[in-house]
Amino acid sequence: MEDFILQMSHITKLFPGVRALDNVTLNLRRGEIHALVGENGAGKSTLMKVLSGEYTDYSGELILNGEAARFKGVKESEAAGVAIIHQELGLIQTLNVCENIFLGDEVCQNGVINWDIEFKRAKELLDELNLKVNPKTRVGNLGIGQQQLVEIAKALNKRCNILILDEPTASLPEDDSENLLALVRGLRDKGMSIIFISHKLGEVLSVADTVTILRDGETVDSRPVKEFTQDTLINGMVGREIKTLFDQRDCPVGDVELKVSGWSVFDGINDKWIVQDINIEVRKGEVVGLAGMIGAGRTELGMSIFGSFEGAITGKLEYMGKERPPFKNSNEAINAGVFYSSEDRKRFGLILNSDIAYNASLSSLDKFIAGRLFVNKNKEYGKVKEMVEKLRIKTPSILQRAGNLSGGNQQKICLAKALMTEPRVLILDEATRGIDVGAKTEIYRLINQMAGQGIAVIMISSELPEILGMSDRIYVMREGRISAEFDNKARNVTQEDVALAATGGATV
Amino acid sequence: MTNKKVDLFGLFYQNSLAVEAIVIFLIFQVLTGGMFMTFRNLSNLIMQGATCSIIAITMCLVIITCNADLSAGRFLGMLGMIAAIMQVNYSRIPSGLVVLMVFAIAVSVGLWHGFWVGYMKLPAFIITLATQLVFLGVNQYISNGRIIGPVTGIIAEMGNGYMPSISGKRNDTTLIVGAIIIIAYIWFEIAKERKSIKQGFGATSLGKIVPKIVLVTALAAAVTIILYNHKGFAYAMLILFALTLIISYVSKNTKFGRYIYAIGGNAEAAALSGINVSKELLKLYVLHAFVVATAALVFLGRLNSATTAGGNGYEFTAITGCVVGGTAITGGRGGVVGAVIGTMIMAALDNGMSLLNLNPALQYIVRGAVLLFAIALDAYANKRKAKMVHAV
Repeated sequence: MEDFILQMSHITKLFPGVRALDNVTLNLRRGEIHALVGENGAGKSTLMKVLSGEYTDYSGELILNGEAARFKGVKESEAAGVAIIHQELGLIQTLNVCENIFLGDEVCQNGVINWDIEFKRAKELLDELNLKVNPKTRVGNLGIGQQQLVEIAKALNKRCNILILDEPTASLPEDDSENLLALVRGLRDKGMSIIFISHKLGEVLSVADTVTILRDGETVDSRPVKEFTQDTLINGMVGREIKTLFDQRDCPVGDVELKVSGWSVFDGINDKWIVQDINIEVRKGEVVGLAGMIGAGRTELGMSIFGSFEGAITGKLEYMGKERPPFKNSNEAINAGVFYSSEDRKRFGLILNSDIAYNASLSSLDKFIAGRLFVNKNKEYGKVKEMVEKLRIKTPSILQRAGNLSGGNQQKICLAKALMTEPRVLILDEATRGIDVGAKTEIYRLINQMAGQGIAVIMISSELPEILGMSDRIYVMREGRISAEFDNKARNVTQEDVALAATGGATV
Repeated sequence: MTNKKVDLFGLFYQNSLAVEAIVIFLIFQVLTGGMFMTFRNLSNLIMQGATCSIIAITMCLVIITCNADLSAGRFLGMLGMIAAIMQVNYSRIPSGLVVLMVFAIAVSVGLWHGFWVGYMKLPAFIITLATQLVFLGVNQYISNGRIIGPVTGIIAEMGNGYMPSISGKRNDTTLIVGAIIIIAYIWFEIAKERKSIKQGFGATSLGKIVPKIVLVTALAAAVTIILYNHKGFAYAMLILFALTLIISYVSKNTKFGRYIYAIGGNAEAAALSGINVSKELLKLYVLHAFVVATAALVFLGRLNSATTAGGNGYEFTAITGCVVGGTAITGGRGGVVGAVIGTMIMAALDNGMSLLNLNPALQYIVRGAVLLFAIALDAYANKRKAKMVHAV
């Protein structure tokens, strides 16, 4: 019999209306690196939250070291030797390295923290990880790669024997990633069992011993890494064919509406370039897809063009054929005719407690002001009703609370809000995230209509089928840069092409 | 883009506490024609500032967790009134027992605040805004609007007592205490430095450590000389000093203290690290109430009687002091010592404006403007950092 340190079988986890995990199986051998791959939303993070005890209401079996276990919180799973390093760093930026490593596990004598022991142990851990920083350094002053190592030190300090890394290299530059992978291999050789979640398939193939592929909450494949290639991995992850969702669009593509060149964005808080040296353009009536993995800098690029990203921006912006300074804020961008619709509609797209009319007209209120002071509700409601009909938003009334609508209809309100500003350039960030297929086709139809009206659309999306089915041209971003550009007029670019460019497999 | 110019703003921002102190002291010294910097006035100033500075000790921790306490001033007023009524109307109760009862009430109020803020997760701002009004009402109700006094025993000593002389000579204890503090401080700094070297972190550059020691020593010596020349060391000052040291130590060297900073830095990450955020907040509000109660007794002892107006606006002075002293209103950053010094600077501002007989209306405007300025400075410094391109 094989030596499994962890066996998760028949795990099912329901969210309201969604089967996030459906009968999932994951078997982790002692001392192996087990990669867990899948598209965004395939259920990888949910499965890990089941393991770490953050979700308790699941069905299925979890056997750790031969004994059935069911954790009721992070504390319990940690005590059993499971440590998880989340995708978004769980470090406190304002505390120093040593304090972060020992957060929750302070070494105390008579209630007073023993700094001597903590510093000594912190130094040992940092030496082990080959990280040359003073434990007294504030974490906020470290680079993202160093912070990642501090996270690992924190996990090691808990004396775990199962380490879960959720996209540890997503935001790391190439050489930092290499260091990290070498380190992960080193930990395995010392006997640690590691679950490694990553979108970077090249990395998965080089570091993992076993790969499990999740798709739509189900395990589709689990085999030794030797039996996979980049292509079979991508096939397993993507699986389905959906070409019929997308209608033909034959509107003419006009002049360049918006163009950025040498566009770079620096985040001074985290001390790093998020977007570097981008040259892209979008034409009237054109839909341009912006593909790439989470953390590649697509959202930041969109927001920086829209003037709503806090950071230093360099580069040239050409709009409507003329060069102009970058938009200082969203207001300036909207007035000029550029609109960005956020990827997180519940936090940044809508005010859920307010009604549809309020949300739809929020960005274009200037158009409904009577006598320079009051909102002319007749005019406002008239326009909103028109939009609700045009976008086929299913609601009994435009005074319905936005939060009561389904995800698809909420997304349509976001589009209505965008369209009511009468934009010339529309940046849609993950416009179909978390909505069902029927609603998706409607959104695609609307995007086609917009392009037909001559709006230049930049569509940011992590879903390859819609990028391929909708875009006239495709830009792929990786680690803050454009890694590839494809002409997709004939809809002949393949998922593999884009996935390779996004994960770093291809050379451009 | 590298920044080779001397970063004037950065330099000012890092030393803003010292700059603000010097500016305020110089302005008042000139405007009052030398009345401001006399031994007598400076000693008074420290006594007046002690109450708010004590509040600031834990107010800054509350702010560090991204919360607030708007009720501190009225709470202080109410506790003072309760203590005064117990002493005056029920004079058989020994003053020590009165003190204990005040602390008991404080702890229960701390539990109350902590319950709503920590466990019910309601905004501290609203909760304490509500209780502030309740405290004022209780104060007026039990006093009927009268002034109650005088107070005696421990309470009077806490606010108005000075350390006795040992040899019979004038204020010799002040010199002794001052000397002990200075020697202890220098010894502490040297020990810290030695430890750092022993742990392999290398020595701090002399250019950094010597000016710091000299500056702190000079400040301590100056305060000692001021007090020596006017009445000596008051117990109120000792209370302030001791509480500052203890709570500053607790905030840096205990689990509780570290969790306070962790919660303010990133509450979600703190919870994921296994910290019981609700419980830590409850503990903090209890500690804070205890400290405010101490301030209430010092305040009552100094004024010798309680009024319904007692403590009005003290939370404002303390919060402003914290912000001036480097506590980030967005949480996670700051320290007790800075908050106390910041509040003393605010006390100096109040004292100077009173000496000038400035119209009270104008005093309010100045105090509001100072708070705005301090917050704006912090916000500007952060925004500037976000937009600054460093060499990577």
